[in-house]
Amino acid sequence: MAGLLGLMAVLGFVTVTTANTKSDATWELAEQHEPTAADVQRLYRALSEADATAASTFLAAQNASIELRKRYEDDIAVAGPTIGLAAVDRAGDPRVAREIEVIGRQVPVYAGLVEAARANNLQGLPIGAAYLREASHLMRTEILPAAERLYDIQTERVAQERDDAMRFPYLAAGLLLITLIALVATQIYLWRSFGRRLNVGMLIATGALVVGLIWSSVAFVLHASNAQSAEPERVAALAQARITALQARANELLTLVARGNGAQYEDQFDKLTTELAGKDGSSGTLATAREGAEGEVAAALANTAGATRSWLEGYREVRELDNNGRYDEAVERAITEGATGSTAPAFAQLDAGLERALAASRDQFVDDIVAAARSLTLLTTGWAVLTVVAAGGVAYGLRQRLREYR
Amino acid sequence: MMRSRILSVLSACLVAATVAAGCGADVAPGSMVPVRPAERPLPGGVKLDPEVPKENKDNDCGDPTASLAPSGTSVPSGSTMDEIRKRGRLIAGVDQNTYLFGFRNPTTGELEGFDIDIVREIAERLLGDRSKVQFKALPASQRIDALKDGSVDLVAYTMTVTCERRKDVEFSSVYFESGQRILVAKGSDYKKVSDLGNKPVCAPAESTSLTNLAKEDPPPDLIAVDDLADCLLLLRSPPTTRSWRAWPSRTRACTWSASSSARSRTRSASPRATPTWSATSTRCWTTFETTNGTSCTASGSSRCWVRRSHRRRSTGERG
Repeated sequence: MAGLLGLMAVLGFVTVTTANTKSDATWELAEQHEPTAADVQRLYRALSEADATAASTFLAAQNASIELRKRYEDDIAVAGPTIGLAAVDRAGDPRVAREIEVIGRQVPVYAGLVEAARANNLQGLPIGAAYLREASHLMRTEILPAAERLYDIQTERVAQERDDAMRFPYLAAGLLLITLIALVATQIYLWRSFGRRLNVGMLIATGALVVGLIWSSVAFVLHASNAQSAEPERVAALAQARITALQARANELLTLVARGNGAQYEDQFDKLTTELAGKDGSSGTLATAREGAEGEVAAALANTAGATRSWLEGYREVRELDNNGRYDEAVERAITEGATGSTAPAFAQLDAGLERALAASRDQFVDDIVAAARSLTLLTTGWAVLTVVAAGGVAYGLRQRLREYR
Repeated sequence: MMRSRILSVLSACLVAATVAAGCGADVAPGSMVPVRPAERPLPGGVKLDPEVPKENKDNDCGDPTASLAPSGTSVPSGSTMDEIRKRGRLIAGVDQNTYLFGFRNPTTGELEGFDIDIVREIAERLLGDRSKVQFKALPASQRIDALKDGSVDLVAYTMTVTCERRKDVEFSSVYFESGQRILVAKGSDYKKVSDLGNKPVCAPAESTSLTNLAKEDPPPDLIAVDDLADCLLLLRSPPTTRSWRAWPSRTRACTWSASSSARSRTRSASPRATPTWSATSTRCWTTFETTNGTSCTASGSSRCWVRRSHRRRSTGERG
């Protein structure tokens, strides 16, 4: 009897902790890890945008709008809180600590250089351009790569947490099986030794465990299938597409800042847009994202193909103008928002489409994860109650048999 | 009896364990954040051990500044000039970072400066319109390559005429004469070029400044950059990056300003402007290689500025 009760106690402990950890991990995935990954992605985006905006402001010279300045400041303001958040979520990962250190140290330096550039530009001194180049170099060689690595780590963590959440609980399942076998064996033994077929206590215990087994199976199947349909890869692919588009845009502007000496930026632009839209404009990461998309994501992505096409066409026209000596028109084409044939609105449309798609796909992901988490609701309490009932049943059933001895 | 003995043994063990735990290693108050000094970044394209352009004695061409004589003002069909006319615009490689020579005015976004004016003058003579110019910004290291591969028609840049360079490109007659100057921070202890031995000195890549500096004994630790303006950044705030091997923290930075003779390469039209101009510097104290009579030696910081702004005004009037 003591052995059976001990087994019950262990089973109760293991099932309750398993259900509890699984449920907690799933909620944490939806409430903490996924948002952190998304925030780090936003940080990367904000920093690339700050770089592109600084370049735009420089190109626009005295026509630079207050909005551009504000956009730059808003972008920089995102950095501090985000790395703070990532630090909270770092869970002792030394890689995260390293990237946070790089970003935390260098973003203020970057902002300082941009301000030095601004102050010199306001005084009409061309050294401002040198400061801006230095700032951009720092951003592109140190800060952005660190932010990208940080994002990769966070994405990896989301995928890993999801896989962990989906893993089959072998220990609990094994224990449950052993306990059930032990219970049945005891009953057969009781039947053989005492000739009693039904022992109410033992029956209640078996019943409780069978209920637990069925409940858990249904819950875990639901949990796993929901978690399975939440694909972090899809969110990651969209985020990647958006980052690629932004980098390409920054390179487009830098070709103009370099003024005829921007071959490296042109090469980068070509490389990035090929990655984004493929050689023919209808493959690449965008097309891959469109293929598997459904519902809102598909709707958001519907416009992106057209926007990409007009952006790339606009870019070719900008290059054409620049290569034919019409630099001023090229600059105007590249940065004027709302002008027809300008690359700025085409890119803005692409970016907005990707942003909506990303938001929708995050929605789907979180919905699935929350559904997975909900399927485990009450399972912890359920198991606690069921094992107590089962233990009670065993105690009650065996006490009767023991009493018969006296 | 038995029970009480077990109890006393147990409690003795407990006391022993507590005392042992208390006697563990001391824990000093620590810090979770490793404190490291701030790193000031380097401008892109900095080379710490640059290749110094060699001076080859075999290339001696006599007077390097001897110009091709123009063969009249006619433009024969099929000539380079004819091509430019047919194209309708002049493609000029210029500097966009050297203040008052070729620079982008941050307020207007337009290229301005002495070299830019020269190019516009050439465009006016050749095409009848000062605005028919396509500017291509070049770093100093690409001036000759850009001419060679035909991506620009001419280069108007602060560029010294040398026999070495004349092998690859042709120069116009000299339209600007100046010396090379070294620029150091105010209040620095450097009095002559030899004081800079084994000290970091910055100059644009592939410039004659590098060649001249490398000839010094002891030679300075050369640092090459894409644009002269990057030298000024390094001078204003020396970087502290760990990769920066030879930057003693106490040393004030020192740059080599390459405001050398500015020449442009064209086949005919060569403007006759020959103003003189001193180095773009806040304090010039030594004349290293003077190709003209003007010099601002010793502690001539105010003289430099006055002189330059004065000359600037005079060239401005010239147009």
